[in-house]
Amino acid sequence: MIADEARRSARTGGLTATLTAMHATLADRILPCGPTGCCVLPEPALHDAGRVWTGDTIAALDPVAVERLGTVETPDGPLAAVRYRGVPGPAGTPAPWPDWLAALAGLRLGLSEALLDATVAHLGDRRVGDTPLVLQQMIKGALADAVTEQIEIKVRLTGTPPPAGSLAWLHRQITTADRMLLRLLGASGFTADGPGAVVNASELLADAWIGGEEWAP
Amino acid sequence: MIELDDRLGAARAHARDWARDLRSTALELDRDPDTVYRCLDNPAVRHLSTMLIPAPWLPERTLIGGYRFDGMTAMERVVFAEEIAAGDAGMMLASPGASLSGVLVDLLADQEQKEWFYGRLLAAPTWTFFALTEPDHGSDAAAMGTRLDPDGEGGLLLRGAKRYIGNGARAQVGVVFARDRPGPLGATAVLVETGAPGFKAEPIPTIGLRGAQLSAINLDGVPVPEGRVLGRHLSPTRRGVWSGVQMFNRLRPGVAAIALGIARSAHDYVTEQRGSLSKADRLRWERTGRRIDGVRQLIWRAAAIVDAQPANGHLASAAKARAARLAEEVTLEALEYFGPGARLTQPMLDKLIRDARGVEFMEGTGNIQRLNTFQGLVQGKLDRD
Ligand SMILES: Cc1cc2nc3c(=O)[nH]c(=O)nc-3n(C[C@H](O)[C@H](O)[C@H](O)COP(=O)(O)OP(=O)(O)OC[C@H]3O[C@@H](n4cnc5c(N)ncnc54)[C@H](O)[C@@H]3O)c2cc1C
Repeated sequence: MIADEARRSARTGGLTATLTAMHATLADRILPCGPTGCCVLPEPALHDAGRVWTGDTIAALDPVAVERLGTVETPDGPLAAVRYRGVPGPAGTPAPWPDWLAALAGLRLGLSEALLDATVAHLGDRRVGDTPLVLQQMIKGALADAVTEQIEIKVRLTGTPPPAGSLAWLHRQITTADRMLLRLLGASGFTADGPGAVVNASELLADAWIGGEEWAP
Repeated sequence: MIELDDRLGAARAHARDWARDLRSTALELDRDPDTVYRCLDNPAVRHLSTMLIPAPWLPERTLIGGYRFDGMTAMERVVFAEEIAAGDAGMMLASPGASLSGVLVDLLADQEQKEWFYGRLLAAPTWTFFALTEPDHGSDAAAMGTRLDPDGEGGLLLRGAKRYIGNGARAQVGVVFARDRPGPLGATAVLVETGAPGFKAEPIPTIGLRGAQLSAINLDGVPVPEGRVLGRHLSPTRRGVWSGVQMFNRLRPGVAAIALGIARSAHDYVTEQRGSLSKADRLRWERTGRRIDGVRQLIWRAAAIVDAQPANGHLASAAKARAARLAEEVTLEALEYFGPGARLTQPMLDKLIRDARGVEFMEGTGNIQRLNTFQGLVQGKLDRD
């Protein structure tokens, strides 16, 4: 799945559905692990995995080497977090890393865009005195900053996917845009069943596959 | 540069020792907010449970490093708050004690009310809550809808709803703000027992700071005796907005210090867990350390100003906004010193990242603090000489 498809899918269909669809496009029910073996997927996507990405290549999966790390809560239900501790197989087919990271950025950007829509609606409903919050100048400025951030990310993700190093930066930029919006949601963005939970899951996804800038493949 | 005197230096050193213990229960409390009930003997929790009880009610307070501390100054509170929050901000907010209500009681309560309130706190570990925010009115407290009306028989009745109230579901007593007459100044605070008829509180699960057990409170005709109206001996203006402003000014440096503690904790975490850093990384991380030190100075200065002039909370606003942002930035930056998956494999770091997000909203969001700072600027109260 290319970044723009993932973005559109996530904006309307949400995190779990898009991640499931992204995983379904990989051949052989593969377990797509990040450079340290971490992986976050919907539970059904973990079943019957026969092959795994370790490091840069694809290898046969040793089921006993799949360690459960816990769950990542989202409003659509939990995702499973695992870590593959198997030894990398002999060099095989290269893992489609850059494509995965670009699609992941698309997915996260789509979630961020949905968050912007939700934030504008929320601020339109809330008031200070008689004025909707969305008409306060500071709020307008903050929304303008967030949407500018998102558009810049979107432009960079359109067409040829950027190199992996730039993708690491884009993922950070998405986190920045999300945090700008979360502040505008007030405490309603801090509850476990609210939009802040999606942002937390989105940050965890980025961290599993690309966290730690200097670790980018 | 501000330096601590011997007394506050002793407070800091002791609280730093306590904080180590808090780290061992931090993840448990994050999973299960009831963990606090098993931690009542922890020295930090014991200290918090008697903070803001003034000396006349507790003359024989335990000595810490040869000094007694009652938490009555903002300066003292920020020193303890940074260290305790560096151990676990969740426990800082989960602990029993007078907490936010204590500042208001100190400011507004008459002798009888103080005896009642402090008496409860001294008899057993007692959780308190402080209910201002409403589902539809957060920053805009002047639009508050909760009502305090006469019951027709000499007492009063509370009706309304509050939301995001720390410790609401586990508290025994607390303060509720309500409107007793129309207009922006028509607000009053009353002492309420959570066992009163019509009082209902339910936890709201949150992303971080789960120890605080934020709660939704429903007030369905809760009876309030006349004697529980705080500041009943003062004029309506002085017990309403005037007291609110003073109280928030006094509290704000402490909230800033919680954010600072979270940032410090993330900084220490990298230093402890990620032994060998490249020279460039080490220099970058040292620079972050200096930012933390700078914000600490800002908070200390803000606390000193509020202690000297409680009506001047503008610098406290600047410090709070700055510290809340620092906590978010430093916890995210800490992640960059570890490989992918650090949030999944290092639960303590993950918790700090989640906790940091919450301080933004406590005691006024960043925008509200910026508006206060601006007021300080145009009113010439920012001490720029
Ligand atoms: C961990 C935690 C603990 C808390 N504890 C308590 C407690 O014990 N007791 C209690 O009463 N409350 C408590 N709160 C609630 C807190 O006080 C509110 O969340 C806060 O006041 C903001 O209100 P809100 O969430 O409704 O956001 P809103 O007021 O809806 O704000 C949404 C956004 O609009 C911005 N905004 C609002 N007004 C303006 C304006 N005039 N100009 C520009 N921007 C503006 C805000 O900055 C924010 O970005 C707690 C919250 C948290 C997260």
